[in-house]
Amino acid sequence: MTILGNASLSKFDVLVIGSGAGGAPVADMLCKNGQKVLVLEAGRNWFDGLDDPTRQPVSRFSNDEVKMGRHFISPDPVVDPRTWRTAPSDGDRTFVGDVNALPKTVGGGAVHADLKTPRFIPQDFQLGTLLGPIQGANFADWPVTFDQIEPFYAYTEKAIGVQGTDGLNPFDGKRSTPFPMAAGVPMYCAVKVVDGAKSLGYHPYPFPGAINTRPYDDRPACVDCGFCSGYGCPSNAKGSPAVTMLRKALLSGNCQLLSETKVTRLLLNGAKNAVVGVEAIGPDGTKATYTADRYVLAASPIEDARLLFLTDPAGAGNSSGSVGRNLTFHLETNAVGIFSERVHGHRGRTVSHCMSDFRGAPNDPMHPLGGIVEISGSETLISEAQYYLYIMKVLGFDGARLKAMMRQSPGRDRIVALSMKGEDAPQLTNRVDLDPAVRDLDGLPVARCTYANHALELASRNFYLPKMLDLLGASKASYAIPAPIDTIPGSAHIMGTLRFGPDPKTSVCDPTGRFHDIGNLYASDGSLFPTSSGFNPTLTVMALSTFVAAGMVFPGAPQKGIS
Amino acid sequence: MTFIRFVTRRDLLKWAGATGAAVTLPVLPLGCKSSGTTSSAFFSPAEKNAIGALADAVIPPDDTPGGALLGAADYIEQLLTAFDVTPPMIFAGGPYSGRQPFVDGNGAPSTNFPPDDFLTFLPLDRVTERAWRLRIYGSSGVDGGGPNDAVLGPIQGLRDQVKSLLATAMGLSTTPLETLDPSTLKSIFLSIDPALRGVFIDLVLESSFGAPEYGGNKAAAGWALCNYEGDSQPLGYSLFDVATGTYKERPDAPMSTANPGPDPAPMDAATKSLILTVVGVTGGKSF
Repeated sequence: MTILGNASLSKFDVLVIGSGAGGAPVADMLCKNGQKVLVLEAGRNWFDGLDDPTRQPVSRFSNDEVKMGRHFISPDPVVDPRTWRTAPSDGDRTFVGDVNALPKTVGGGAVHADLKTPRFIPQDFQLGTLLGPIQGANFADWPVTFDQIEPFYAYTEKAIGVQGTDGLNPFDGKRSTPFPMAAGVPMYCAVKVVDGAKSLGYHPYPFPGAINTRPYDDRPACVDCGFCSGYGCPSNAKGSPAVTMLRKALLSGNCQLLSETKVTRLLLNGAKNAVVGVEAIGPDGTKATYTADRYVLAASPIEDARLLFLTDPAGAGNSSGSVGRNLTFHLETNAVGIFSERVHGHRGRTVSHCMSDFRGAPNDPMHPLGGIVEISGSETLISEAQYYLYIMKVLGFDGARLKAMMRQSPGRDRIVALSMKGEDAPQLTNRVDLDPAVRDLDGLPVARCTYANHALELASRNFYLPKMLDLLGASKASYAIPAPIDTIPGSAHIMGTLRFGPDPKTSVCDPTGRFHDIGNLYASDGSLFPTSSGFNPTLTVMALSTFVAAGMVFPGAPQKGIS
Repeated sequence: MTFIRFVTRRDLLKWAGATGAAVTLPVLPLGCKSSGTTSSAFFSPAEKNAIGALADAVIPPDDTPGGALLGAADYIEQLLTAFDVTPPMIFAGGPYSGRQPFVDGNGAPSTNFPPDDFLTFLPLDRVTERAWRLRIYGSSGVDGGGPNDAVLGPIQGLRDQVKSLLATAMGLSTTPLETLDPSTLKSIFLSIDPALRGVFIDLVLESSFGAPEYGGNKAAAGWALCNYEGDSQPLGYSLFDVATGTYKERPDAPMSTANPGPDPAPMDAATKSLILTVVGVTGGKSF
């Protein structure tokens, strides 16, 4: 086991489960306010010197497609799968394997992301009111407003170092602070689409992202190596939670982190209204118990819910019956443009531009609720070859043609991809529970996702997909191909399952992030989200986590934590 | 490209001739120690030749190397014997391979190259070790088997799958596979069970286009034939000029503008036809 931070600590005020975008901000906020924090992380640490104040951490991540394909940090489905079905009528499951898995590693799922950090916009916090009742959906207002969260956005952007360009996105909410650093070099493939989008009257803009465009916070400027989305950063130019907020917590003297330590259940008191400890399996497979005064769930929405069901078959803290429900992923609508020239989308940070024109507005049939559109480059060779093989499954395998395609590269060196992250309607029937038979390495039931799309997001896809194809034409692509995501989402955008709200009958956590039913237990990640919005969630996860932690330190006045 | 020379089939054949019959990694990667209990030779010479022949059915040789010369046999053998050394050769290290230099202070490539950290393979933890032992040896080769054998059936290990594929393919020919003409070889390859064939194709693709430290992609020839620069760190494509606080781009591999020079491999009629098929099936558009 790797012990990071202050190894001498033995008594803790707060125990945080998970070290990623949900856990790292909590640890940082609590530690800077003198709280003693224990962080338990199921995954390994791949940052040498993460807690060393005398030098910057050395990353073990690299430009290595084989390594990431071998589940270097993502859960290996051989021993750590999830299961899937669209409805109970499917039976126990229809799939066993990778179900929208996030990496398990110190720094969490954000380590692998290209850390796009758009903000949500004001309407996203009020969709319950603005939309009104929708059959089969379960929209609700957030118990916080955009104005309440905005200072936490600004705080987080500064903490992790966000690049962007002010004033180009007319759909954005009001900003109290400018972007901490300027946007980086545009990718050529994106330049083509930016030109096309402008010709159609859209409003493309540089994608905000926590990627340095100058030396910042003792981390170097990004070199746009091309291995960003899906890869950890070799140089720490990417402001992942590990090398920013978590490192600060570890350097505070108030934090201890145990990696390779998987929490297997919460230990509740007799009344089931307080956590008295957690049981965990360490790196050698032995069990241990850890205690603190308060506890925070930040293991990502699916694993959070799984842990509550591992704790109590009925779901700990589940008087509302909502634990695990309202699971959302974002409905991704993708279109690929193929150009006659090489637009080398592997050079860059995966995505350099986007547009919010398709986010839409509530109950506006001319602008249905969609989402941000990423204007994305391409990735690496093995993935490219797999695309061709997929086609050849239908047309028949032909090695010479495969090689010719790899040389000519219509599926990598000539493409730009548009990906809309569409609003995913929360539904009570979209949920996480435990699979009745499938187990992980330690014999524990794995999470089962029961999920089907709502007509609302499918209608949005049908509305915007033709516009995305036309946009590719306006960008001078030779071909435009719709590429909807498969039945099982791979968005890595996971939200809901522990919705927060004022009513204990319809929500799991209260407006501060504390469980209605369990007084010393909090959630601090995307699990709290009542709705998914149509924007990449990481910045909002981190801002909300900071908000929750600040409220733990300053009850009723979380803004004091960032002032 | 400045930093990766185009490697021809002739180059690799010359290299193979200079180093022996097979193109192999010259040394055990840094930090890996033989367990001393088994040999790293999982395949017989005949089997390695057969792997090469089948790999050539996946990526045929022409003026550039095919799957055999790109190192399929070495890649597969290195993976299947990963646990013969400590740490197991599953995850190459990082952050850098040493193939690209650092940026100097003025936004230009320096002459300072980092060491090849990829050669220092990383230790596995309890979870990944179990997963990879199951993947390579199968449920029957690991005490306790897989966690879901009772529900999903036992896991068939890669070693058994590759051996089974070889036995099938070699049994379909009275002469060594590497002596067959491409047409006959292709026919044999396509007659193999599709699931096994799929496993093999995946391995050949990883071999041909993955980092050379895994045993394949000899001399980065797989990247070169795709006109791909390979791993780009720590140089990258946008080079920060500390003195001016601005970025510079590489003239040989620009990021925000078109490539210099002619397209090294324009799309041919067959590729365009295939794209049009996909466009038609998916409801796309051509412009």
